[in-house]
Amino acid sequence: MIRTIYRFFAGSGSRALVSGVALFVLVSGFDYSLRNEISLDFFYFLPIFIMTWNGGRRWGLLAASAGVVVWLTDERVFLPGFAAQMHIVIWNAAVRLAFFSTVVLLTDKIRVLLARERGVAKLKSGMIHIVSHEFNNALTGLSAGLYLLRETDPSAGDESRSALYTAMASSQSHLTLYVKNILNEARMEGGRFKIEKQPLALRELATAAVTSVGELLRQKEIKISMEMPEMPLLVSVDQEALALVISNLLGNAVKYTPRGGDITVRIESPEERRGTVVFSVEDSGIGISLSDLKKITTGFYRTAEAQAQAGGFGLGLKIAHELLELHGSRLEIVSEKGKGSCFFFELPLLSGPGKRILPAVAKKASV
Amino acid sequence: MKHKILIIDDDESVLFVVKKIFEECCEVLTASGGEAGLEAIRRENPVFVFLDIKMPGMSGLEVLELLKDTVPAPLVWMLTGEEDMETAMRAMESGASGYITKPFHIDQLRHIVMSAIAARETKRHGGTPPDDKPWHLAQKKTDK
Repeated sequence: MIRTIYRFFAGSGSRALVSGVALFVLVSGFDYSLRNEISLDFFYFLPIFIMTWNGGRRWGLLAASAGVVVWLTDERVFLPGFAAQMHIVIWNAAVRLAFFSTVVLLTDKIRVLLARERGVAKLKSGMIHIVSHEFNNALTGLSAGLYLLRETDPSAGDESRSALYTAMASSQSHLTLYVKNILNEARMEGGRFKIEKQPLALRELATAAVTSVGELLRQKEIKISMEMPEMPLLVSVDQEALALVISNLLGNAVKYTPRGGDITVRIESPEERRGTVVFSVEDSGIGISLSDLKKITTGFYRTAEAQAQAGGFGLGLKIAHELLELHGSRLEIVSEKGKGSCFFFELPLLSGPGKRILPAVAKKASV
Repeated sequence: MKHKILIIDDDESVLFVVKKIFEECCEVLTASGGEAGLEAIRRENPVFVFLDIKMPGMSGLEVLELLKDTVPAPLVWMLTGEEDMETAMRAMESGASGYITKPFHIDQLRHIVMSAIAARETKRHGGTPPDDKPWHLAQKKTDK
């Protein structure tokens, strides 16, 4: 509300000038008529602030000088005994000028810093768009080429060949996930991320995620087990967001679980928490100490051990947490250093038929 | 006679792979950029067009606009990166039949083309197009 009023009066350079002058006239008029009885000195700041914020340092200093001159004419020049007290008046005027000028310089500094920050944010978001566009293009060539190679290779059935293909496909899908993460991070930072909820069975997203890290699990000889009830449990969530959350959690577990370890993916609606679905990924990995636990969900942070074990940023967990927050949930972690970690989240249980989801990202309008 | 498919994209590798994907079943034409694409549509009259959204010069959306009065209108599907969702939705309103994000799954790509062409053939011969499962209808997902 204040902002709209401000914009109306001082939105453009010329409007600021007019408002500034009008304010000066107003304040000095009051000051003059009240003849020193009630101090209105503070209100000289208003026109000076408007002029600085809109016009920068020079206009601000001009307004500061004008303010002093106006003050002089109001309070001193027309009073009797002015000539005799000249030195006091000049001193007062100088002090005022110094004070106003300091305010002008500070305000201008803030103004410049704010503008610069806005510019940087815009640049960053623009850059991320361009970069992810390039990445997506390149990944298209890679994934399609790989697929075709596999399709047309007569020796593709051969075990070692097949393993190679799967490994490459795995790497490529990891990269694709990563680019998605970065893009979503940029969107969320800009506050432009909107989720669309639909009824979904988490098990389908989980199965898809497990399949895509299949080769990596085999390579690291990690045993994965999935525990879920007979009937699929449904939740109301944004499909792409949850797919990303689950991929990130699973990818994280695979990355930080050493050779020969175990990972358990669990979907359950426990007795003591009826009406909710708890999804958890538990691993027998390096674990996280208490002090590191909090830091993990707040940003590009990885514990010292994690940095030693694997490459990459701690972006995945942060994004998972933020996406869950958008659903009114949160990422929870239970971990003990050296003993493994359990990442889980809770969502309200839906009852009723759900929608069959597909691994596809193709969408079609009604023809 | 093989169906004519056209891909319009400024990225050479995308043109190459899509051509490879369809070269057995169809006659595949490529165009690098919007103007070349428009040219190719007018000259060759493809039944199906893959149109990239982000291109230097004429963008995918602009091509769509200029295609509006073309008869017979080809089936146009937009190729888009995830960062372009808003534009993809706008494209649907401008006459595109759908969009697919890069990187895409090859079976999906093939399915889209085959079923879209089949649906058009059936319509042309006065029948009802086959049920389009398993596609779910487009969701209006915007970033605003």
